[in-house]
Amino acid sequence: MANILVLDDVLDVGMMLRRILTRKGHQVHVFSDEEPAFDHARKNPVDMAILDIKLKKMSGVEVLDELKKINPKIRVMMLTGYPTLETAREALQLGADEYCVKPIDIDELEEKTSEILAKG
Amino acid sequence: MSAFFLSLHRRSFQSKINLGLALIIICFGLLLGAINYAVSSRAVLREALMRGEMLSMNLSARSTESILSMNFLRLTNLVTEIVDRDDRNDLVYAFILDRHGQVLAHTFRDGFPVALLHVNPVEDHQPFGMRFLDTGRERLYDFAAPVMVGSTRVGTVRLALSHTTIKAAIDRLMWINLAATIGATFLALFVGSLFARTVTRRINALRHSAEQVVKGNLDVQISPAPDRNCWEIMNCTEQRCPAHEDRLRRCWYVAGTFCPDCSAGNFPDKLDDCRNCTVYCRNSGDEIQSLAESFDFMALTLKNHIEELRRSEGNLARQKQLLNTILDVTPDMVTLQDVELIYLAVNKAFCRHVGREESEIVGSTDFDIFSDEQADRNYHEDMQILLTRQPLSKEIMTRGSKGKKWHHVVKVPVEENDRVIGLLTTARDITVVKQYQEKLIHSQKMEDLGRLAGGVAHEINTPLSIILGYSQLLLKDFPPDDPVAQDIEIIEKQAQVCRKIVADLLSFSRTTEQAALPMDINASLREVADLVEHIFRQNRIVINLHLDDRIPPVSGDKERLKQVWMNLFNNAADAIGMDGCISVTSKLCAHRRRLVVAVADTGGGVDENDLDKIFEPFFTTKPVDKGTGLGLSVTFGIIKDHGGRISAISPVPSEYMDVSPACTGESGPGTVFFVELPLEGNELPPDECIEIPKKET
Repeated sequence: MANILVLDDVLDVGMMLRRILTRKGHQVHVFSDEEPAFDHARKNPVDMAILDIKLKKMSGVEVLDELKKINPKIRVMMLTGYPTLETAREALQLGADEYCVKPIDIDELEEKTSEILAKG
Repeated sequence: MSAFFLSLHRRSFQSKINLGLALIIICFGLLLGAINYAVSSRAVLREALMRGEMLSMNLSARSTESILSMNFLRLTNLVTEIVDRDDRNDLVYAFILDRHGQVLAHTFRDGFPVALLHVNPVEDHQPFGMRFLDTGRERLYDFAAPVMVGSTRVGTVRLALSHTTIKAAIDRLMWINLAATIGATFLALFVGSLFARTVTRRINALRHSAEQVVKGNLDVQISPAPDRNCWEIMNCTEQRCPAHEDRLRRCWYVAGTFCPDCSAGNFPDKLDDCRNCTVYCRNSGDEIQSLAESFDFMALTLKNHIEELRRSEGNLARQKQLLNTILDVTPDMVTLQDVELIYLAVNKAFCRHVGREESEIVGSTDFDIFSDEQADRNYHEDMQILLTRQPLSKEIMTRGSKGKKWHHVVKVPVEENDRVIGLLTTARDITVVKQYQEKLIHSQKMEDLGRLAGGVAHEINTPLSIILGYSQLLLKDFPPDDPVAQDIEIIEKQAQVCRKIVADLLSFSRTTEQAALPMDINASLREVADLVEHIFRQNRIVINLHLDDRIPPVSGDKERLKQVWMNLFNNAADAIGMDGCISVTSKLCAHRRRLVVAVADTGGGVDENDLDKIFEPFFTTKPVDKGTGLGLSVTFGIIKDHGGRISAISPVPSEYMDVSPACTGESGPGTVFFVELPLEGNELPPDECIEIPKKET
């Protein structure tokens, strides 16, 4: 069972992801602001992060960079409603494991999550 | 009589002079002859009568003695002698009577005519008596003289002179007179004719020259060249003098001569100074020569004048031609109207526009050319400009047989000396500019729409993903046969539809970010065609590929371009429905800087008014529930991202009609889509692709 961090500026999306992923037995922490999420990552061991690209203060790519600095082993799935080639390329370069586009089907989400976690 | 005068009037001048001279001479000759005849005949007669008188008195004196002595022999001798000795043979008879009237002696050979005794009695106191007798045979002048001895009369002598002889003398005189008159007349005629000929010859020369001038030959020279010219007479060496070496004109016809005695004026005025000039005195002639010289000068002046006129005429014609060329070559319509709005000049472009000849338009007004309504509108507008002197510039749209046309019309009042004299109108065809403008507006609209759609899509995406997520989540909590699960399924299904729409909208609005990799357009076309072929075959729709192998690889997003082909093929198939052909052509454009892919179908075609709208999001001609109206707008967005252009034409032009055997069946007008993609860079080259037929405008 993994410790998953979800960061999305829309809280409802995070709540939904939590609902889906907790059903699979994961422990999910949902944040809508960057700072509390960083705090959480620093204090707790986080296996995986699901990041939106468009956040309140920073971009998902910057958050990804920061999280990787905090914990280089962290697995990251980018989940965005604004997919662009540039951010995709950038995210993958910074070590993101998956780049998914909203809206995502539950099955696809579950599958991708387990794939990513299986890597670690 | 009038015919006589008319024929006389037609005679040559020489004949007239000759005739006039002859008439004068004959009249004077006859008059002089008549007077001469009258005077001389009277003198001859008087002389004859005086002779008769003398002879009778002489006979009377010589016969006195013989009468007294009754010597009859002597008396007979006397009378015979006087008759015989008459050298003029004009004495007809002579006889002597005694105082009783008895005949003493006579010269009659055939007996004495008694009747003679009683005519011509003479009194004693008369020296003689004379009487004119007509005997019937001849006419006589009978003379009687008394023979007197003192105061006693002893007898009478009588003799007669023949009138015929006297008359013969007079007649002779008359004939001499007549002959002299005729001779003088002929002499005068001969001399007059010589004179007339010299005069008329020069007049004829003048007349001939005048005829030549009238015929247009102005190189006439009638006046004889002077034997010495002014520069020879004056020993003038002034080469710059206009009269120098001028052998055609006398110096007094030349203005601005350098001679110190010459005045500066022109020909008729300067002549006053010339009268005392040596050159003038030597070279000037009589009136006819003056006339000839004046005539030569006139012809020369006329010639110079005409040459000058011709030169300026040529100049004018050249300028006119130049102006006409400029006006006719310009594609703008140019017209000039006068203040009555009558056309003064129009160019070829205008003639073509109204479909009339220039000759028909010039001189007419708008009312003769345009419809009454149009002409009336023009009239009020034009009059307004003429009155206010304010130029007008406007854009007008006309619908004619060739579709919509836009013109930029400029009307300017033409002013001269502060007075309006006409109206100059130019109209430029700006249809192409307008079309570009419309295209620009359209693409701007599409861009705005894209931005809007993108914004909306993004905003909807998040709530949509939540709806979708929760509905899928809920589905897992209920068994599939539960009615709630079925309801949630519907929610999920419709959310998926929304998701598709949002995804399409995002594709349409995306203006950046694409995987630009070299790719083979033909290969991607083949791939998509293979993919859809078997699906289309169910509806008996055939895809025919006509691909140009020369097309080099282009940089593009393979997946998104495949989506373009897919959209276009689906669209074509939807347009056909059942039974038809999709013809896919790819080729290089003439300048090899772009390629064009044409997708033509045999479907129902698109209405002309809809052609511009088909790329707009949510525009669809399909029935409700059959399409979202996003396929073509997404295609548009993708092509635009590749720096390309997409356009459509309906019905399909003949060169894009598929002629393969499977497509020869009955089909609709069809639609053809053209996708243009740049071969290099991310922008279409500026030159047009002539392979793409223009829309019928």
